[in-house]
Amino acid sequence: MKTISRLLLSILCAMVLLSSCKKADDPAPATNEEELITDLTLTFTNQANTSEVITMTFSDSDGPNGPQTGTFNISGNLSASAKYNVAFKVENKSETPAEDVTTEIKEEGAEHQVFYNTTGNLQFQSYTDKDANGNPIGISTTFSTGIAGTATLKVTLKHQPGVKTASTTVVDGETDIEVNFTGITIQ
Amino acid sequence: MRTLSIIILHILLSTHFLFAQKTTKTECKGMLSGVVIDAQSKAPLAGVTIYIKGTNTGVITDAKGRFQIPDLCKGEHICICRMIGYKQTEFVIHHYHNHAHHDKKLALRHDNHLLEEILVEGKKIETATQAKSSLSGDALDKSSGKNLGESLKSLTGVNTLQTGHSISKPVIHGVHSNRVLVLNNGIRQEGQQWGAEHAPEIDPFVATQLSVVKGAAGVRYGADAIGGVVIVEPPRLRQSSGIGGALNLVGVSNGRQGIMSGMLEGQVIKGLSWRVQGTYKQSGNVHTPDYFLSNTGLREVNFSGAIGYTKERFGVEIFHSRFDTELGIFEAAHTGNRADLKRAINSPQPLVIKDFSYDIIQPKQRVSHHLLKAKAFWLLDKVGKIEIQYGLQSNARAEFDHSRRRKSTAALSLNLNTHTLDLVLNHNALGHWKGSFGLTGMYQTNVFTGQMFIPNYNTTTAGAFLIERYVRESFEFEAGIRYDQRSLTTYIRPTSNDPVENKTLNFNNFSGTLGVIFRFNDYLSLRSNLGTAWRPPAVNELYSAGLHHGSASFELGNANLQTEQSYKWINTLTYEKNRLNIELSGYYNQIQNYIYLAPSAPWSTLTIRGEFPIYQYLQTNAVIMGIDAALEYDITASLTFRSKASVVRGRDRSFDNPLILMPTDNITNTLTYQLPKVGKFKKIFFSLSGRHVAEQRLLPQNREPFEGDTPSQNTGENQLTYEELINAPAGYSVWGFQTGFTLPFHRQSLKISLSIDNMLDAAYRDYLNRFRFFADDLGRSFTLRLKYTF
Repeated sequence: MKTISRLLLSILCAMVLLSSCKKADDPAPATNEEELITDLTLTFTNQANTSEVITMTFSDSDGPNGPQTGTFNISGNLSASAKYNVAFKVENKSETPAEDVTTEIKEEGAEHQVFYNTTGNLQFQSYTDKDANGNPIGISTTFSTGIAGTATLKVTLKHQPGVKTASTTVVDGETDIEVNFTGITIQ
Repeated sequence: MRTLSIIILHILLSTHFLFAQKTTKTECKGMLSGVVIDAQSKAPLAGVTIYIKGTNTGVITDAKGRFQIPDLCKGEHICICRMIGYKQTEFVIHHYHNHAHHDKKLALRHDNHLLEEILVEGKKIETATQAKSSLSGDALDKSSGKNLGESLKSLTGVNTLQTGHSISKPVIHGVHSNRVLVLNNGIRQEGQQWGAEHAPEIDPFVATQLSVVKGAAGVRYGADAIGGVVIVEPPRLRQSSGIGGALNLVGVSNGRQGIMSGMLEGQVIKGLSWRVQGTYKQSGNVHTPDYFLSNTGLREVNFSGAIGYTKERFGVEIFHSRFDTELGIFEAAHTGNRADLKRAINSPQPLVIKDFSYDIIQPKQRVSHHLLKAKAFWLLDKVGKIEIQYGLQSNARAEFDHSRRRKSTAALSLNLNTHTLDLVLNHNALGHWKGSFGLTGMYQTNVFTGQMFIPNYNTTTAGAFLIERYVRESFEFEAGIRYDQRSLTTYIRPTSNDPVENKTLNFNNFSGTLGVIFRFNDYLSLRSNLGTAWRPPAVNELYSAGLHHGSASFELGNANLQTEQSYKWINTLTYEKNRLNIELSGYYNQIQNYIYLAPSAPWSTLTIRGEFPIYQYLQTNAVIMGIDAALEYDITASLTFRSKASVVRGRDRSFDNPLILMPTDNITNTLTYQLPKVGKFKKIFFSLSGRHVAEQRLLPQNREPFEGDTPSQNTGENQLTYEELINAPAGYSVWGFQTGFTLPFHRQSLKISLSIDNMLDAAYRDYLNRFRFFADDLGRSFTLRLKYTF
């Protein structure tokens, strides 16, 4: 049987050579050209004390299409009864240097919106940016904290091509990013 | 007016030996049988006299155009077909080798009293004892314009697994995708057939016959054919001088589809013939009774050409075809994460509804498939017929996401190149045995760009088979064995910065077939076949790692999977007498190591897009069994009732659980009123049909822990439940009406038909349609078909 296999293989190889007019089939994969978003960072800056900066990050090194589970990191506690300016940033850290994807979302602002849902002692205040149509994007926002306690914050980036208006909500369009920060402490 | 000079013969020649008969005339035990049809209308011709020149042997065709000439001696015979109104036609039968010859189709064009020759040399003997259903001629014309899967749906026991209306895959006796082999013009079709939303890249207009072999056909066609084989056969190249052709125009109201297909063929000199064929198809958004389905349009451009040179003892043929399609994926079915999916599933109407448009936006697929085939045969007196066939296929698939960036590049593209080589010897009879021996080989390379879903790989397969048949008058016996060896090498780069790791897996196994046909009398026969086939795990089952947008889940391969092995026993009882025709078939398919996708630990993964359930390929022992029944009864000479029904049951034996996605019980009844001739019009018909599909109540129970049952840390409020993902829609009935006629003039003919599908505009969802979660199936649609043959 083995000789038959070999015979067939050699005939096949000959065929492959004969038909090599098309491009070579190199089976070794090229490096990943995939467009990824690996990291989300929310930077909270206390309006009353700009040296108080807290970051919340979610990092998923293989991106949304890879099977690895992401990890959360919250750099510290928020102050009670304070107001914060919050910056939203997304990056592709699988490339070196890391690629900042936020600017692209800003450019396509008319198709995107970031939504924030909170529970506990953290409240979303307002959007402080606008797209070309005067609707909010959500890259820069303000939040406020209540008394000491805990909170959760869900961040959702929606892709709403042809759908986005002043009244569209988190249920419209397709989800590009959805991260739920739990265990936020306010003291 | 009656100058019809062309008769096409479907010759079925089989030889029967009387084992006990001790005469020296065993040389005269061949039998010639076949069907005579009108070349233009394709209607069977009753009352045609057929006799062998120089003998008293002659027969007359019955009401269905069939005839049988028994006691055919070895040698060369001239057969004469005669009927008033048609020109006398002669053909030559070379009957030297006691091969069994089945479904031999030959076209005779009798211009200028040329004596055409028919070489009665079979090429296929493999499926004699297996259940096989075919679609050709008028029946095939009635579904022209539909895709391959939809066209096959009219055969008993065949269903389709659909992803909307534009992607449908044949399901034979409950199995599909990797377990069903598609043989396109003799070459096994190699696309990315593992994907449920990857339809076979074949233009049905290429074919004059579509057949489905329903047994485990591993021996003749190689590994993977666990569930059955779909055979797409183009017509033979033109056998007579001159040029001919056909033009098909189809318009469909739903989706505002237009389909145009043309074929032109000719003979340059005797023996040297050619054919070219092309199809263009365009469709916009289709609609359900209540709304349009956004982004469901498609565009398809296909081309094929063939050239062949045939002499009595040898022949060569080259065939090339190209299939190109671009099709939109229903917008409301493409979801970003599980919360989106839950919303889409629970919404009574699609979340995105747009008006009619021909535009195809993202998400979409773009697929092109090339096939180049070269084939040759030689007849050797002392040996038999040797055939050699080489096929080159190149399949390029690009899938476009709802991507924010790089909109013009595909999120995922896969390029698969396949070389196949087949060498077959149909040997001359050795005693009472006849059969064939063959060697096959395949080499395949797959390369992806963009998102990794399956890795790059190459496979090498080699196999050898032997099938032998022993034929007696009242029964036939068939046995076959095959050995295959497959090696699979994958090339994986774990992350962008890692070096490539390669891994090789080897699989080898035997397949076998054992079958008998008993002919109890002229009306009743029983076919029984026990076949085994095996299937090595496919590359997606072993190594896939990626997000499946359609189901918002992660599909993980399982590198420990073992070879799937199927044992299928199928019995078919056929009764044919006078006005009644019944076919009943029952099967039992036991599949060891059945590979399926199931929720799996660690149950979910958290990504920046939200949380997704993890599904992994697992194995179990499964049994799929069922019954197909078909009945045809001529109530009067022009009124016919046809009914076909199928029942399939699939069970996971290890977990004692029903299998997912098993076709639902269904029955189709058709009442046809047909008039052979009214004035200049021929074959006027009116037919009313009803298809009734039950609700699938045998759904897999949630026996294993399902991740969705427990709230998770991230998006707990939006978890899908197991029931939501497994839910089956209610049963339904759809009605259809079709009417048409044929208008022959001189050597040309025009066939026109009008059909109405889903006549009552019923809103329904089908269990085997992946979009059942999001939208209703298609609403009422009118189709006008026009076929001009010249």
